[in-house]
Amino acid sequence: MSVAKLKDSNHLVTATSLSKRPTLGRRLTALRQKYELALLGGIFFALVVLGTIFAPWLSPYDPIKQDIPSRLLTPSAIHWFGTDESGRDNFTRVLYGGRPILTTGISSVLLALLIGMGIGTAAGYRGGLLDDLLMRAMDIMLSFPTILLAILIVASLGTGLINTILAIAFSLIPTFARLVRSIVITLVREQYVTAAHAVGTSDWQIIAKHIFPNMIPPIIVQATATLAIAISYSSALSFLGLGVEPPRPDWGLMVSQGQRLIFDAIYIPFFPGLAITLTVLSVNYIGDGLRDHLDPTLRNR
Amino acid sequence: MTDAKTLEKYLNYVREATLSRRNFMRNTAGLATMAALAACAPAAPAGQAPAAAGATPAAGATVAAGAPKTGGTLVFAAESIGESLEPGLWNGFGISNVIDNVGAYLTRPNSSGQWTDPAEASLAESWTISEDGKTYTFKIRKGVKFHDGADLDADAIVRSLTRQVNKDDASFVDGLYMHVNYTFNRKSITAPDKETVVIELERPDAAYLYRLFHPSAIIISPKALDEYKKEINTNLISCGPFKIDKFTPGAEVTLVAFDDFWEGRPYIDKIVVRGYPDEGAMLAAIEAGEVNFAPYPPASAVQRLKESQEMKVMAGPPLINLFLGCCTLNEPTNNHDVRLAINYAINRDNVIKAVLYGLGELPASFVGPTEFGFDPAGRDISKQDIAKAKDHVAKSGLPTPIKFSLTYENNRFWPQMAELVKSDLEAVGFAVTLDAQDSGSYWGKVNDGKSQLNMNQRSLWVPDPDNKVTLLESHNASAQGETGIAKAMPEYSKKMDELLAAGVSELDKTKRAEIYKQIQELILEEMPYVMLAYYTKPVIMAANINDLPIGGASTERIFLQKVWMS
Repeated sequence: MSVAKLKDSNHLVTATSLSKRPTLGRRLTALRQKYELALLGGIFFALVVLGTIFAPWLSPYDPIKQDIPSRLLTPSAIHWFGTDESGRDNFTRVLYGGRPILTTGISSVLLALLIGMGIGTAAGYRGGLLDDLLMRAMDIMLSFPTILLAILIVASLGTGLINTILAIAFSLIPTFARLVRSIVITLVREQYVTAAHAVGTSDWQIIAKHIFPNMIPPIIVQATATLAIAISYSSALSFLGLGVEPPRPDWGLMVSQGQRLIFDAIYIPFFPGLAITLTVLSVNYIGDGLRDHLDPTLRNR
Repeated sequence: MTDAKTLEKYLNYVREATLSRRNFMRNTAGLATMAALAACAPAAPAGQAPAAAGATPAAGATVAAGAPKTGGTLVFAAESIGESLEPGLWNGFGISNVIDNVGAYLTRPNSSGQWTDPAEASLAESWTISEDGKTYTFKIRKGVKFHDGADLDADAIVRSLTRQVNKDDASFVDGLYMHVNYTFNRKSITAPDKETVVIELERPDAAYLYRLFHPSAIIISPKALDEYKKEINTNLISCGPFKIDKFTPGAEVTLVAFDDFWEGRPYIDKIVVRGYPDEGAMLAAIEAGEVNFAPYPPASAVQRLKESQEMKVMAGPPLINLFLGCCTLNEPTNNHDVRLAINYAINRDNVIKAVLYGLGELPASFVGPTEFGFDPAGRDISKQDIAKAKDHVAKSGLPTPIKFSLTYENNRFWPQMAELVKSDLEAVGFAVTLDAQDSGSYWGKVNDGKSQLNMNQRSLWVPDPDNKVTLLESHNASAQGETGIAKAMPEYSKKMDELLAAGVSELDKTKRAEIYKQIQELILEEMPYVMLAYYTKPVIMAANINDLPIGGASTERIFLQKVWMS
């Protein structure tokens, strides 16, 4: 388009606007630039998930079977992350060790989310005495340091994957309950909800059609941020011996068992420790990206 | 004299494989210098006493590495520091180590450093034992002062050795039990005069002189007992080589040299005993130079620290038993074939290699290889035999896999040991659930007889075979809960009680050895305990720390009176 052919300013403006409309490639590049860390986090997290799922095909070694003559071998082409005190391949154990951590993290967040949504919706929608009772109960739960509460629950229920999930989920419920309540309180004052009430729509329908869809974006952001916390808690509980039963591999447990070898065979606690750090970091980056994308106040910054 | 001592020390280094290049050079130079001096110097007049400790050497003389020197601070990494110093209760190894250095006993371990050598005189200057072996008459040492300035006399001894069972004593609290070591068989204790204590026993006890230096038999100042009453548990005042300067329950105890110690001031000025329940933190403290004495190091670090120029590693005899307890109160460990299958399934070589890093020996039974009454016959039974293990699993008549849980403390090397045991047991038809517990919960569960297979250790605090096998005596918590034989196997328990009583009462060594052989055979026959290893506990210390009696330290009894820093 030549400038000479464009005589008036209106034409010029229209032409300029057309020329600046981003192509798909440019839009993807812009998205990639804007969400670079989230993308990296997503790729890494996906690799971790795939690695733990396909561990039996990715490594020829058994994560549990002991091989005493092969103990404490340093990282090499045969054993990428070396071997532990019982001669087990450390890389294989790191692959398998993600299973309980991710299972616990994801399951506990989902469970906490479900229960927290129920409590938060009931409290925010009904208000009054029910709101007071439920929120005071949440306050009591929040008054305990979360990890301490989780330890207390595991100590009472006993160790194991299910109990760890329950413990972490229980300790995370107030986070979701409070968030959902605040969203619901805002939403029930909206005119479209008042209108729905006026035409006789049932409470369940209002919640399902008008409130629930509007609470999804902030909940997704919160759930992702909480997943990182849940993974940290799961690792911490395993580190304290309150997670999965040995000899099953688990990152927290592997760090715990390897800590006394930190000066003699640092590769034993280092790799599972690194796996925890990078996984938590990647989930945090995903959460940040989702927040930037889903929060209208941050989207165009 | 000194050159002979240096030579002996040199040979000890070689024997204990602790000779670093620096020590070799130092000792060789020391020996050469001594030899040269000995050749040139005139012979010392007969009967002349050696120079007093800490005395300035004669002009021109070379200060040998072996010449004790006063001064220095020993920072001691204990595995824990308890909340109380009460000697009648178990407060962890750290506190018992404090008691051994703050306290003094009627007798003490032999100064040869060999833990099983005869007991020596300490607060008792001498003693006589009646012909029937039941009456001990102790002559109390004169001029001994407590840390609070009070004088030691026979009444103070009697007070200390009865306060844990005397409800009228101002310092008495319910639940004290460690005294059983020296009160169980005691009929009476009296002080006919200020310098004499007479102890009468119900039956002879070949180990009684040893029992009197159990930490629970510490002699405490009567003045302090009156002043502090029950709070003696935080204000322990005795008459040992060091006195307590500061006690921070659960964290740290600071000791300082006691100038008026009856045998002369100890060499070291100050000892800081700090608790490191976490092995990683302990290692970091050693690496950072924050501690210079670590008698509870992780075995994994020993080889590397052995090669260090700044540190040295000492290891004495294998005095600690590591074992599995089969609780016969519960299924399936009440099944004889199950217990035998467990025994044959375990590969002890792997335990010693992978868990103890070579610091152990194949076990025979409860009496260790350097202890009186050792019977090597059990070593054959301790060898792994998968065919026999599977055979006993089949004979047990239980459906496979036979399920049970292995209860253990979630600290030190126990978790790794548990994994290894589980792996071996599952290879022959068991399905083992690992049941890791903190220390308090472990003992609660095991002593209540609620475990199936448990895992523990037994040290030789009283250097007599009775100290270990007495676990099976029916009145003992171990026989009640750990193995449960007192309730579940009354006939066996009765037979064991008779043999244990006969063993400890027999004063003829040959006959006594035969009884302990029978006891060990009886253990191997029914297998309430399955031995895992004899553990050689190492001690890591700075290269400039000298003359630690390694015998006691090999069984967690650490006496620092004669230790010095060069």
